[in-house]
Amino acid sequence: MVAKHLLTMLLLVPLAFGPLGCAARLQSALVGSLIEDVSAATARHDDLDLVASGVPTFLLLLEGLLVANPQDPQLLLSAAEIYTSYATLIEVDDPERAKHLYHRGKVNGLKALALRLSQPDLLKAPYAEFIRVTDALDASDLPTVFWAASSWGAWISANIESMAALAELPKVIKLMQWIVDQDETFQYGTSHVFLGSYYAALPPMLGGNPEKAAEHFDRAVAIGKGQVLMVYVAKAKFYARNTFDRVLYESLLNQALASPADVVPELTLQNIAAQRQAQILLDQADDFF
Amino acid sequence: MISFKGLFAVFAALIANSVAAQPNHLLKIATLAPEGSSWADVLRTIDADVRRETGDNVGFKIYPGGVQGDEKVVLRKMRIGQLHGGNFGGQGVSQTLPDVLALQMPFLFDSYAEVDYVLEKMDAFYRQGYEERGYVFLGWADIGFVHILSQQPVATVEDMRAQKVWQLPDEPLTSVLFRLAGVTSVPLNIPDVLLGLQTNLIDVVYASPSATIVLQWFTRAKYVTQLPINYTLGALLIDKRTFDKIPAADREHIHRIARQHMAALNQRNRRENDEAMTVLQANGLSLVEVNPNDVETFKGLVTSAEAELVGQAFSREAHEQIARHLQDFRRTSP
Repeated sequence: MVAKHLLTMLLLVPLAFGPLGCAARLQSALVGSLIEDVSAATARHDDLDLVASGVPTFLLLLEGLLVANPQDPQLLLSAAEIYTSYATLIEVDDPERAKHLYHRGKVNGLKALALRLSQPDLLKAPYAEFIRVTDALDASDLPTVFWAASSWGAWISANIESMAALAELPKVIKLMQWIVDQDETFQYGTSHVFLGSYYAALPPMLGGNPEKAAEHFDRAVAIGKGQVLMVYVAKAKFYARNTFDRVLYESLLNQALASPADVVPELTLQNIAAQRQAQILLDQADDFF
Repeated sequence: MISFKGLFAVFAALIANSVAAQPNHLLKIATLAPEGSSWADVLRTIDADVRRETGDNVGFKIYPGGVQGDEKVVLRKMRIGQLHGGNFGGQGVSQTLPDVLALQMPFLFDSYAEVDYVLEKMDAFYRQGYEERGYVFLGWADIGFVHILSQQPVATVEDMRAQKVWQLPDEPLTSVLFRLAGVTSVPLNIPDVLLGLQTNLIDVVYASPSATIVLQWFTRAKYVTQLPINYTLGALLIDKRTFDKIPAADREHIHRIARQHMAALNQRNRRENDEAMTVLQANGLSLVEVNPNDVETFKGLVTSAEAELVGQAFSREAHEQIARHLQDFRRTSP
């Protein structure tokens, strides 16, 4: 069970606390700017615990803004991102509460995505129809698709025992693949990390594909230029472990630990989180191999 | 304050525990099922209870997610002592004991009540069968009733003949059945089935409802036939030479704990399959009803296949014992 939570965290921490992107078009420019500034400062912070304890306040502020601006795409995306990120932080201690927060993240993310679609009902349609969702999207939709798919995927991961949730996974994979096809470097290649983790987490008999997984991780490593440490951690956790390659597992985790966390200031927080996980996974090597 | 300190505490405890409590008898158990699935979870639950009840004399080391290879490889590693057991859900179950196929004949069981009655009555038979082949049987793992998913509705044998039907290679029951039914089958290994559906190489597949979701086959099908075909099951097996080295009292603990938790696993898997049938329909698959006459035609095919299968694919003894128990059950619980 602990491992399952770790899986969720690994899928998500790369996504957590990233920069929020372009300026929010809020009624109050001051508040929009505040949210952006806080997000940027958060991503550059080097104290995870401090950030975690501050998030609920920030979320309440966001909820208040959403009451006044329920259709604001940037606020919806921020809510998707921050609920999802915060849920990963509290999941080990309180999985039931985390599920509620993941759900809020997913709902906000899908609302934001629906605003970009002429046929928002497609999101709930059977897969064969759903795949037309991406026909109407272009490069300007990348941030929306990314955070919608990420919060959706996180919610599935937290509800993996539910058949209904599991049945939504192909849709998230489709969106992540679309991001890779549009711009594989978006968010430092995080969509490659998601797809790599997905293909590596299952054995071939259950739909996994180690070769595809390796290709996605290799692209993510190349795009991250060694500055996105969660790529190494995810590759170790999912690919090296599931191909039973202890040498690769340890070398990837050691690489994450030996790399500086703050080369790219906005990646500082997630790199520190990655290094903490790298150490935990390294200590657990004897349990896995 | 929250999260990461808590996380560290949990992991520190885990690591400390696994170092301090290296059991005298460490059973290395593999399964294809990934971490977090019911099949992997049950092994962890059994392990925790076994360690407690045996005072850390016995414990499991669990390899989920197929990291030790497919079931054939796991069986080979068990023979040379690299692994000591597996929670088998694929062909490993019948390859180790072909008589398990007698339980998986189409239209044999009408309900879980029948399944449970027969499995209970046949417990000693299968336990002994596995023992003679060098395995200790610790319990069945329910996979569920197989259902047909298709591009065009399948309500009759003719509907099957009109479409390209997937076949699992080297599977003895479908080999005979499809030939007798005059069905064109396309053999594909499981990892290739989704692509086969996408490229119209095949139109008809079959699996338990939850497996069609895990494997994403449902995304490429339009219909699901409301006809439980055959009951399928896996088993938790341990290498007998390794198991026999464990003190008798601890072996009893393991049997009792495994029986309890495998029963709970089966309830969970059955709930998942029920939920999966609903989810398939919620995802746009239409339910195809089969009228009673056509069910009889399907059953007739199976009866004619029995002549080739009984005594060949599995023993006549297994087949007849199962039939007798089923008769008893149906007589007493109409």
